[in-house]
Amino acid sequence: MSNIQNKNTWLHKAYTEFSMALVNNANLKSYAEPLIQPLFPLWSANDYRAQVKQVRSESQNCYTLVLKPTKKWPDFQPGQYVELQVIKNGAKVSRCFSISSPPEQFAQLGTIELTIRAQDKGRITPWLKQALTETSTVGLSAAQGDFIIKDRSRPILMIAGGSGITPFRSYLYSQAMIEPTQKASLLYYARNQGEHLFEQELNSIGDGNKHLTTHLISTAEMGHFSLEQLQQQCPNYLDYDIYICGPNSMIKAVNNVLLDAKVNEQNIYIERFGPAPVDFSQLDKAGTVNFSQSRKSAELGSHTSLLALAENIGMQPESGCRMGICHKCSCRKKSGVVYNTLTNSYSDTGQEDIQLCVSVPVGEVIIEL
Amino acid sequence: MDTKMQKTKPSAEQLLYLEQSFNAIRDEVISDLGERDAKHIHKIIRIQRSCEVSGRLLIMFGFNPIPWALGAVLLGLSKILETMEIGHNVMHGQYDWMNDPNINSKTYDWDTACPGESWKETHNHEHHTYTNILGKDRDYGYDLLRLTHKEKWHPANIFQVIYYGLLSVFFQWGVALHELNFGGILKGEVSLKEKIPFLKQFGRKSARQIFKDYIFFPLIAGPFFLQVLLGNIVANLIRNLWTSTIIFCGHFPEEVETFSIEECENETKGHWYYRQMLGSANFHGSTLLHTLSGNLSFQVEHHLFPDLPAHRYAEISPKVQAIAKELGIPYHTGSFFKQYSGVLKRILVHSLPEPKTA
Repeated sequence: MSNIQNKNTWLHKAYTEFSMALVNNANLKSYAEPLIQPLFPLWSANDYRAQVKQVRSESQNCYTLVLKPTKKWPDFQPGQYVELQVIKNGAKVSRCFSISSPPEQFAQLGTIELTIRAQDKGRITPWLKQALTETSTVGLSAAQGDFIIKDRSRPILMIAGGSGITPFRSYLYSQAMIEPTQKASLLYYARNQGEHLFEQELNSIGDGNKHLTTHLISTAEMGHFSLEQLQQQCPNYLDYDIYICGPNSMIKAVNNVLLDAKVNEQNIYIERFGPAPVDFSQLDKAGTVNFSQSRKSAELGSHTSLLALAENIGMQPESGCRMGICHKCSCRKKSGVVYNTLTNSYSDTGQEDIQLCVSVPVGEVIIEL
Repeated sequence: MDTKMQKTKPSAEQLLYLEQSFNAIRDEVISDLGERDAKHIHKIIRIQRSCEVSGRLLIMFGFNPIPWALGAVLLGLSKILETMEIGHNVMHGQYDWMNDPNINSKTYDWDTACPGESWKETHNHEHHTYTNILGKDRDYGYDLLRLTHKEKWHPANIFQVIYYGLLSVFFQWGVALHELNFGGILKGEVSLKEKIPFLKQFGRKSARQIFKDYIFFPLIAGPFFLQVLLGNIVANLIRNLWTSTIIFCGHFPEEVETFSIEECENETKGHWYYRQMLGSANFHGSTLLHTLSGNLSFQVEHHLFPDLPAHRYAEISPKVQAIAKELGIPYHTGSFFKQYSGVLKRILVHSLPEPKTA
């Protein structure tokens, strides 16, 4: 995310050392940021930033953010996602969203679009729509992820569920998809007719393009994805690369059908959503804690702190008072929910720092340790 | 003064009540953390950096004594704000909830010779967990000063007011070398070898600080080398004297008590709170004085809640005092002058052995 390339050159090392000596920060710009940003909100020392151009409703609970990133923001490929960073009540929060617009739009207008479902119990997604206006600025990561079209020579089948349509919208609009002869087919599932996002544009996007077909399917009428549907809509499916994006339960079901149908696993590409908001009344005490840097994991049993859990499996994280006051064991949580026994509250689902000694994991958690 | 504690030591029920009441105060602040606190720390950082930049410019291009002196004072002010209200408080994790890598206890390092990592161990962990437990909290007198009759007198203590003066002048270096545990090494309790990682850390950090204030900025001033060097020395001196004074006023006024290791074995959170109440002291003053002291003028509240944003201490102080009063626990406070003269008196009194008849 840093703008500075080639981190290992001696010049960069010298710069870092010089900057540390002068301002105790690896980047001199970070020192100046609090003085400059109030005047130039789009300026940033380390992160990319973007201007909000439009907040557009797509349906009752989905909306699209049209963002104009600053000039330094690198290009992206259809299917990639970005981490959006905003300040909510003084605290930085971040969420990842697939880019739902094509690179051609970015090349011509300099804008990208993120299409977001306001989650029922979400803390961020419903709030974001109210909080952002056309004068807001947000933080933005470079585009990430490898859910991109792998092989332009093979036909592709896209299977989307709900807001899982977002990366495929970028695929479909992408110049490469509209003009050349690559065969492409979309199966898009939603519960009822009329609940498909971008319904009108998806129905007309294939007009005049014999290589592109789109099917908007209602599971209430037609049932879930099945072998029969696959054979009917895409008979030569064994020749296709298959891309799936949607809720985890849907991905699992579709994947099973495909494997049963003898589709080669290597031809299936999957994009999962980040962790869904947690319904705190139905918390699951089971799950796994993954320590990403040491590549260790621990199963959750009783209510033990993450610190004790890590020590139980032979790790030795830095720690101090073990009562939540000294912050020596503070550590980055990549995803998942923890319960803080000091504040008696649940954490957010996204990335943030937590104190291991007073955090009890709830369900799947990934810790950068 | 140390026997008073025995008489009034609260019962287990009272300590439980204390624990619940203080936890409730903490919860209330935690649930209210937000934009106001973020604005506060952003504002302080902006003021500090403006002071630093303008201070350095004035020192360099002041060309006559008055702007030069103003520059030195501004730079000193910047260092005071950076050490106290920003560095100390950020490194306590008071703003970790903001999830901002530049205002985070994990990454922040302050503008002093003391490496942030070392500080977090000796201060956040040792001092704040074992506050004023003799033999465990080496912040108590810094291995240098005898401040209670519970410690054995040594002839070297006769001159301790001089040590105190020197410690204040070189306070950042005293704090920086604290982890070395020089006293422990002399006594043979700690080997120098195990301090090698610390010494490396210290060497690196102090070299950076010396490079900045005493080499780089004087050098780029070219012909004004000396005036910049002198200005930076003065600014560091201002900060050292001020921070030392604030820390001593918070910990060593007359009435502040000490504890034995046995008293604190298996202690409850309630007892820990109780110990923090007895082991620290506040002083009154204006908002400006509180800000310049990093709100450590509310040392009692800081020791009860070391990771709550310090600008909140003034707001919760009346609640803490009410609970203390209800339970008959002393709440140490007084004017700045009273607390500071208490510190000096304590240093002087304990520089001599107690009369045998006592």
